[in-house]
Amino acid sequence: MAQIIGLPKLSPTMEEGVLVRWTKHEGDKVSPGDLIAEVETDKANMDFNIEDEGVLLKFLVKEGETVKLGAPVAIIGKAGEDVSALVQQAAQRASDSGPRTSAGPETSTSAPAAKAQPREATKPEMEQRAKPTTKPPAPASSATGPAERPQAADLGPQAHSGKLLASPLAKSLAIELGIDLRHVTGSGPGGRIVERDVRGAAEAGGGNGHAAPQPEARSPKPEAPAQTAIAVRRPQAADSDGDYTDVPASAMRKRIAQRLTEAKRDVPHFYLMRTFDAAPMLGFRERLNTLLGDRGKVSVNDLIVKAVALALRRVPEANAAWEPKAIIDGSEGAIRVFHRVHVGIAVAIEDGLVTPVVRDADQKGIGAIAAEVRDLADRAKHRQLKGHEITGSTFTVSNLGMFGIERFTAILNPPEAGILAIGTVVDAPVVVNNQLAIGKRMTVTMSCDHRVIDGALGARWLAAFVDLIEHPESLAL
Amino acid sequence: MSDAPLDVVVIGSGPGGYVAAIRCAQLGLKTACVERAELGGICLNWGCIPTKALLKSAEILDHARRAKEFGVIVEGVRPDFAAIIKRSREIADKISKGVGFLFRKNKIEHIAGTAKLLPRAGAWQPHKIQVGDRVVEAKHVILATGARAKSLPGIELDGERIVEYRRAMTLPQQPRTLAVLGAGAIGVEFASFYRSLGTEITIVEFLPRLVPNEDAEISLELQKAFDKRGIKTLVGHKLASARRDGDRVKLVAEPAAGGAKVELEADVLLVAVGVAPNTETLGLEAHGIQLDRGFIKTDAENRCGDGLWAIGDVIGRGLAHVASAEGVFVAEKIAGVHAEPLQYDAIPACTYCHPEIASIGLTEATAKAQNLPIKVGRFPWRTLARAVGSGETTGFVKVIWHAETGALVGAHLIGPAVTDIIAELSLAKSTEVNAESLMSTIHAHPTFAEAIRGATEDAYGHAIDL
Repeated sequence: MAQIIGLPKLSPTMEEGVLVRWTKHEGDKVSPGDLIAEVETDKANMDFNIEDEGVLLKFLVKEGETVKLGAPVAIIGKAGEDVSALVQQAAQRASDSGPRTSAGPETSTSAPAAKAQPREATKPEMEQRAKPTTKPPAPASSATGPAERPQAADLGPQAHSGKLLASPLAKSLAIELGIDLRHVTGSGPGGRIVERDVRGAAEAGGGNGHAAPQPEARSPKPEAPAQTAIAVRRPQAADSDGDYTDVPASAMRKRIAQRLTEAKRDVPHFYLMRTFDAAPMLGFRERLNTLLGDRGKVSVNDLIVKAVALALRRVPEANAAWEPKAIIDGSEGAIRVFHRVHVGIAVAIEDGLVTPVVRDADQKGIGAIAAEVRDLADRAKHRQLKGHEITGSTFTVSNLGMFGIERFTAILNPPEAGILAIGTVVDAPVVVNNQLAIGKRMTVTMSCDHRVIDGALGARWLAAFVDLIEHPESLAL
Repeated sequence: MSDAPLDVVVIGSGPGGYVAAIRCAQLGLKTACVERAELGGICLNWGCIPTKALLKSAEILDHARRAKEFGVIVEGVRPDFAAIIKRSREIADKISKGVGFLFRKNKIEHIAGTAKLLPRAGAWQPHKIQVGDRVVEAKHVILATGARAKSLPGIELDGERIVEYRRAMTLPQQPRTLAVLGAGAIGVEFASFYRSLGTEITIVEFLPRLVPNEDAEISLELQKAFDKRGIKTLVGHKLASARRDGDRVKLVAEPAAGGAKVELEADVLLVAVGVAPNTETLGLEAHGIQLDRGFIKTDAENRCGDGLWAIGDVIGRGLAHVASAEGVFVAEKIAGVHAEPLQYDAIPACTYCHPEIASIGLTEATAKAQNLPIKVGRFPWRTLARAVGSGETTGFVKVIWHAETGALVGAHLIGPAVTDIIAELSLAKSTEVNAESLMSTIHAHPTFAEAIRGATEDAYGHAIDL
């Protein structure tokens, strides 16, 4: 019998999470431990591993939606089961769990992907963007009950209007030990908090359920078998000859490893390169900064972001993603064209990258973009970005110019179909009016997903970009 | 001949096997169940069920004898032994047929015969189970073959005068004197039954008290009750010899601590010293299945090999309800749905002698041995209105709570209705109801269950009715 899966507690202090990305599709068969989604919590991006087995019959939450703890996110069951009653029940439960920041669960049974709608927010994932993430050992799914025992599905501790489900003993023990039960994940039937959970929380240092330890507090005793291999590896294990040292990889590093492998392997990349005259852009920037005075600075990158955004408006076919599971007229696979332009900007942070997003960059003035990017980058370095600030980009810019890199190729950030790699400005011999001269040149490289962007389309987009950036006044229009 | 591979073959149809088979079928697994005897196994045919029927006859007899005390004239009260046995058999038969019905309803094939696991063709091959001339294939095999009575070295069961429980419930005539070896649940239940019928009983128990697995206070209370009923007991006695002498059995018992021997005679000797698992004919050797004192060894999830599972008495559990719960657990594991592990520290046990005994959790002695801080409370039936009105005032309810956390450590009940009201304490134990919650739970008045709250109040020193 189908049942509703609720959002589990993935970090000790989370009250809600942003469903950043579904890593499975509706109709996929899943086994306990499978990663079904990434969820942005107050702490970090967390993996949502399912504890049940079955077929993901329906997603109740769109990517980018904010979901309260315990609120329904999906329905799991056997293939072909009728889920309409559960969808209604879920809608009821979702409203019980309080308002969400965006639309409620869809009641239509058609896959959301089938509608070529702009995605409000999609989780970017690629080299520049892997976010600080961590994988909790065996995230207890608070609202997932035993299959075929329907009542249990409703017993998630937070599933009902915030009422905590804990045994009387657990409650009294929590008072005695000073444990906040709201931060404890229940391991009893239906996610009920029982004595061992409270004791585990006390051992873990209070208010910190053993089933959902803080990322920082993990590692000595991994609970999920899948983690064992990594977690039991001793940090900095050197081989006997001293020829190498194994440095433990952070969760973010592992995420980068996984995501980029997937992207580079699964997306048919090709690359288009253009070198253009950077002098107008540099001159324009100087004029702008003079005008701005003490009110801020505009960087080359800000201008590029604006140019990318406007180029995507001029060539909207490039503002798109390949949707393998979308079904149109009975056949699978579609190009999803985004209606809004959200530009992601890769920002290097300690031990990794994040990709904050400038939403509707095409609509914003250069000064506004500059201020926003500076704020996002600052907070990114302190890992203070919120879920919605790092999700939903439709195209990405990666800039290594400040490091003196002349040109490079970037790995795409699925599902986006394009990423632009920005090199540095170089003084180059150029021919002007049949005379050799010294000019300012910049090379950009566009990585394209060939399923969406063919060579000619990519070239057309790059031409639009170059036209804009070589005539930077148009960026101010 | 070979059939299409099944998902699951369950070997044995006792309370472990038949429940496992039905749960498998409910979860959509193609299931068959092999049974060499009657469906329902020992529990339904030769254990729990027919003995409860016998004990009900004994209870009615006891009530009839006391009828005058209640202002009811009943004359000519006497047992009709043959009719009592017949009724017991009919009930067992009826319940066993119920299992057959459930199998048909759930489309579970009942394969009659003795099953043997054949060597496996390879790691990814289905298991092959031979039953007579037939070989069935299955991805999973659940071993639920149960156990049978065992005897002691030197004491030969002859099926007439020296018998085990199975024969003891179908004796051709009521014995005038019965010796019972072993004062566990089976021993005291038969002693209680035959005593009600008027048989002279002597129980010989090696350990120093009756029902030695129960709390010591329970043993003491049962001892007093049995003394009153005229059941002779030789606790702390070893049976030195038992031999048939014509239509009699001659026994020699000697104190375990040494001392003068006691000579006894009885029409029948019931040997109730425990059980041995049924594993010999299963072909376990070829599968590397390990045994521990004869019982199949499993991991914490009842696995004993790849696609091989074992539940119930054959792994040494000894209680029908544990076997059933393990059956459900294993079925859900196989089906891949959520399976809630058993709470082995929250398993109630009931003994249906008169007075009845029910218990859960640790005894007081065990709790103390574990250095648990405890609060112990008792509530005697003679102070409970309902019990007094019913004329059932033997025994008490004893509860043991954790002094610091208020968790239920154990509960030990002897007397009226205890085998039913233990359910409240089972729930308390498994769901961590603490003493405070139990005391604030309103118990209907007048009921036997009130004694549980009363005993808990006593533990906390504020019993209203004591």
